[in-house]
Amino acid sequence: MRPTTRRHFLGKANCAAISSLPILNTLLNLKLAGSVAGAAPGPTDYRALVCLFFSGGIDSYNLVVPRGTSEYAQYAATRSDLALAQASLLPITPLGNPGLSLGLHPGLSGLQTLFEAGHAAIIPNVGTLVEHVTRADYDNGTSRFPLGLYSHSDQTEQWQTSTPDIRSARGWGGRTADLLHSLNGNQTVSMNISLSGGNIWQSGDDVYEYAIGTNGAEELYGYDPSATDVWSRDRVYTKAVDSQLALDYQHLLSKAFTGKKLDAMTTYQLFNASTSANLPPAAVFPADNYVADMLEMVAKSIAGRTALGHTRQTFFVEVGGWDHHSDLITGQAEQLPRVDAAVAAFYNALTVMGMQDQVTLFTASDFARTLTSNGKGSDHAWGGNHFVVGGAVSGRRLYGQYPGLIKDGTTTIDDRGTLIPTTSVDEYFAELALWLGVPKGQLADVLPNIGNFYSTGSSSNPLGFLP
Amino acid sequence: MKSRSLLLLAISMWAMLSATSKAQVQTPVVNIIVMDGDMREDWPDAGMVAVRRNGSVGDITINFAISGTATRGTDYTMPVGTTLLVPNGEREAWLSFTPIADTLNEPVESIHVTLLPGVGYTLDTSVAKTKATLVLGNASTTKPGAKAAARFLIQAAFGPDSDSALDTDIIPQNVQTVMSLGFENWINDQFRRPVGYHQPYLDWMKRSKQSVNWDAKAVSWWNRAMGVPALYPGGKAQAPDPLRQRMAFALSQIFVISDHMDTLSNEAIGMENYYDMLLRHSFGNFRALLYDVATHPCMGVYLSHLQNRKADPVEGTYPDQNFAREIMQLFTIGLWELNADGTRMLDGLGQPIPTYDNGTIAEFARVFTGMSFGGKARAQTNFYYPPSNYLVPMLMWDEEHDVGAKTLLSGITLPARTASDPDVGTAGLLDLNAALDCLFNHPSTAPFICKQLIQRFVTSNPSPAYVGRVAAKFANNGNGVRGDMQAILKAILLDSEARSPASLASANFGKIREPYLRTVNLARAFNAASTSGLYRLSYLDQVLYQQPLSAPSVFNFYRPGYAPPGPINDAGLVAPEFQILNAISALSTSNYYYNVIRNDFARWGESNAKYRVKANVTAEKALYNDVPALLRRLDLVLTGGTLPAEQHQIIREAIEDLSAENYSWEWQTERINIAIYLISTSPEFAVLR
Repeated sequence: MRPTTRRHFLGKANCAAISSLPILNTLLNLKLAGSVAGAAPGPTDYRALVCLFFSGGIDSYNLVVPRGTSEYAQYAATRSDLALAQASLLPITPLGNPGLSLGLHPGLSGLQTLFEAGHAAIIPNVGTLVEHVTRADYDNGTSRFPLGLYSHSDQTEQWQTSTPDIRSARGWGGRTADLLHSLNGNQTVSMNISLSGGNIWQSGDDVYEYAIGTNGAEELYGYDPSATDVWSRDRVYTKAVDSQLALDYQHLLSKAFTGKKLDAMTTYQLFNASTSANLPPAAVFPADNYVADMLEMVAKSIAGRTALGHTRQTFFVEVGGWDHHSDLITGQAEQLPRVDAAVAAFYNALTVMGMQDQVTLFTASDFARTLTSNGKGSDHAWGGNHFVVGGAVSGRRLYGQYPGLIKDGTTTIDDRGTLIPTTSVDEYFAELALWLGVPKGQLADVLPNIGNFYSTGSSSNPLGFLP
Repeated sequence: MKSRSLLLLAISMWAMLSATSKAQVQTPVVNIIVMDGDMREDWPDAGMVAVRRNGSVGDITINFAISGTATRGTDYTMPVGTTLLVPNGEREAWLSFTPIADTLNEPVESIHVTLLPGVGYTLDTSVAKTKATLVLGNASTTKPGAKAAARFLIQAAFGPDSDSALDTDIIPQNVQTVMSLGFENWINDQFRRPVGYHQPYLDWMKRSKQSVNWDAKAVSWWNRAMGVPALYPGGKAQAPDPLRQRMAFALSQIFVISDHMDTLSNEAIGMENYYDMLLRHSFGNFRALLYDVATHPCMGVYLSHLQNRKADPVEGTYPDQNFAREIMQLFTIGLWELNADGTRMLDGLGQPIPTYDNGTIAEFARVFTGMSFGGKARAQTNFYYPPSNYLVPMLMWDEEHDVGAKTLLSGITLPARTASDPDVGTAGLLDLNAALDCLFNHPSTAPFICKQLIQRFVTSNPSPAYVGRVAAKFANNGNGVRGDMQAILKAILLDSEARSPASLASANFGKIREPYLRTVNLARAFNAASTSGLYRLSYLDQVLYQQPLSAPSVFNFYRPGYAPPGPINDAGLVAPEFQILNAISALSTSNYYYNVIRNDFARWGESNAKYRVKANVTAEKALYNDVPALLRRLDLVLTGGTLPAEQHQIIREAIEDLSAENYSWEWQTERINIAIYLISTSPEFAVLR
């Protein structure tokens, strides 16, 4: 059982009703942190994070590939039938990495452009870690390793909780929102908005996700509080539904079921009124692209921030189909251009809206995959490469070490090319959380293991890709 | 208390708005109605009457008398006295009658409540409206009452059916069957029924030159769930087998394959063949089920062990680990060593103990090598380029099977074997069967599987003792057989925790009913049908977030351990079905039901008249002007009679609000619509207690 938090002690169960006490504290803390760190955003500056989650475990060593002769040869030898042709790679020229010649998957031309223009960065070989570990630690059974390594359910969870040492249903996005949601003047709509339904990342103690579809929020048919005419059918429905929802249920499941419905209804009106406006004409999204549909709705939600009363938002966008035990080459060739076009259009839309510096998109996934082939595809592994995109990002750089792509050695766990992460998800997420406005002093509330990787007393950022 | 007073405020404000000035000066007229008049000594659900007045101003105290063959205080309890206060602001007050169980063998007894004249009110001029009658049935260990039987059918089948409009009672036929057979004999009868296979429908489509697409699966699923005698036009009629259909649906949520994968989406007949395999084993043995799951080509495609090769040092390839991992994590032993009651074993430091590690997976991955499509004699096919056949088990090839020695779990090792020559796959099959035995006999498998089955049928949070009792039947059915599915099902459904009426009083026993099954209950409650006899109901996952054989991943629609933020998680409980309840589905299901009742069951409405699946509400329409009777009928068929008095009042007043005066257009039909809508979207319908 989870320990009772202060807010639960105060009896607040959802974000629609928040006592003023924590708001005061958080604002106070933010101001304090702002004066100390200087870099922390002011409470009224809008900022948003977009998590693009590749579910299934994306084979990210075919997203960012070495192009140099000897590095490519090693890549090709290790990956055998999974290797992309050297000539097909889209070249990128990272700053500050002399001698490292890299290319992107041929389906990622949009990201190539964003990277070269300095609006995107790469976090190589990042993964779930309790603490930094070596092959010897693994062989000797020393050090602490994430629970359920290589398991979809566990690693999906841990990429969202950032606590690989415990199983938890609370995500770091949720914990961040527990701290920051009070910056939003209106608490009706959760600051955590999901295009992909319920998820752990956005679940906190007080704040959890508000689920919307690509057309916005769901309304309840026949429900219209403004219907007062005696002959109105909606009047009768509305009164009855309101009365049902006002009943005090003793059964926990009934109470929770009713609460979910009530939340959805109170939120719908404001959300759709705030986000129904068309984006500027220049904000074009590709058609027949469900990833783009989701990101377009994210852009509309950002455009509606003022009407929503939001100065902080997070968005969860899940794209499935990356568990390429087979069909890796053909599967990625089909799926990546869809994602790439959507992300490029999203960044363009932000630019048109003038919001590109205030929104940062980052990618995540269950895990990366074995470098070696099973004859058709690759299996579950560990550390992998990820992207951050946004105007605030110090782009055209790698933050961390791009590994040697060997299948068996001190940097792998086994002989299948399972790479041990050299950057922890804690460092990756800490950078994002700080940027969103979590004070350094409260970073450990959001990322309990951050102290194993980064001193919050440090004057520099964990990785440095955000200011 | 707060919400209650808000309700009162809302009601009284409405009453003030709508009351005419003449009502305020007249003496209130009172009457009495029965909300729930069906009581049984062995079922704690109370009988309820409402005493109502017109208007809501001022306290009035109403006199009544109790008579009948049942003895107050001996056969039932009720509040003391013979007066009932209807307080200021209230339009009605309730009397509840709680049965007392005794060991006497009594006939059915009656309770009459008769309103008497008093001060400050007058009695309704209709004598019938001043008298209410409740019946109190005798306890029976063999013949359950109607509510207990209805609840059992929600757990074990697809809920109560529509009662014939010609019937004099309101008890559906399938509820009466349970009442007369008793629970165990009903189950025994189900065990004897012929298997309601699904694939024959798609085979028929193919024979009749129709294109067989993924959405055809929904038709056969619904036809079977609705208990249609003949699966397709001209097909042979057979008795419906709801328990088996429920079991296969539960198994399909453990041994998941999904048409979200394009390859399988294009193999609708193959997927139905897989589903029929689950149906065939639903009353069989878990070990045989496991073998057929492991060798079915749909599973081979879904978890990619079809054409899985032994390691190839030249190519630098290794066996695929996908199936090896999931058969352990999801299909048999789970991640943690379990005690016999499903609780986690702990090590000396109090930490849970993993059942396997990555090394174990690598070993099992070697077992699941060498299988490719079957269906042809070996001379006519080969491992690499076989004709794909999704209707027969995969074929084992020793030449691609890793015949080396392997270390499994529980100290079991497999010896190095010699590949058969000519290749008949014997070495590979020896490994396969030994590995399946290893997992089948692992001590964690029984509690791991049994707890999930309990979650599908009865409750999200079974006690460890309940899990232990069912797992014990998995381990030994009483005749020394392990994995007997009939014994497991009986243990789940007949367990005291599932059957005891005490569970009804618990604030956390039970489960959110799966949205798909809730929808079937809604359809069956009104004998929903199309003139074609078919149920073309695909795309329901867009509103329900659930659809057979269509989970988003091998982790099903929801995880067995999912706990939503808030009071459920705070209490240390889980509610798997909550994982698909969000701000969209919390309303989209209601919206779907809103349309279902008015139009038909198709996701966007069906344009072709002969495929419109429409609810039959003839019997309900006959009751449009007898609202208490209408509600009693709907309460039993949809919630097993669990609607509380508060819901009765809310729904009754909404129905009465749609009157000829207020809402003239088809007001009789609208009364039925709103009644069904408000019950089918209520927590009492959504939560099985």
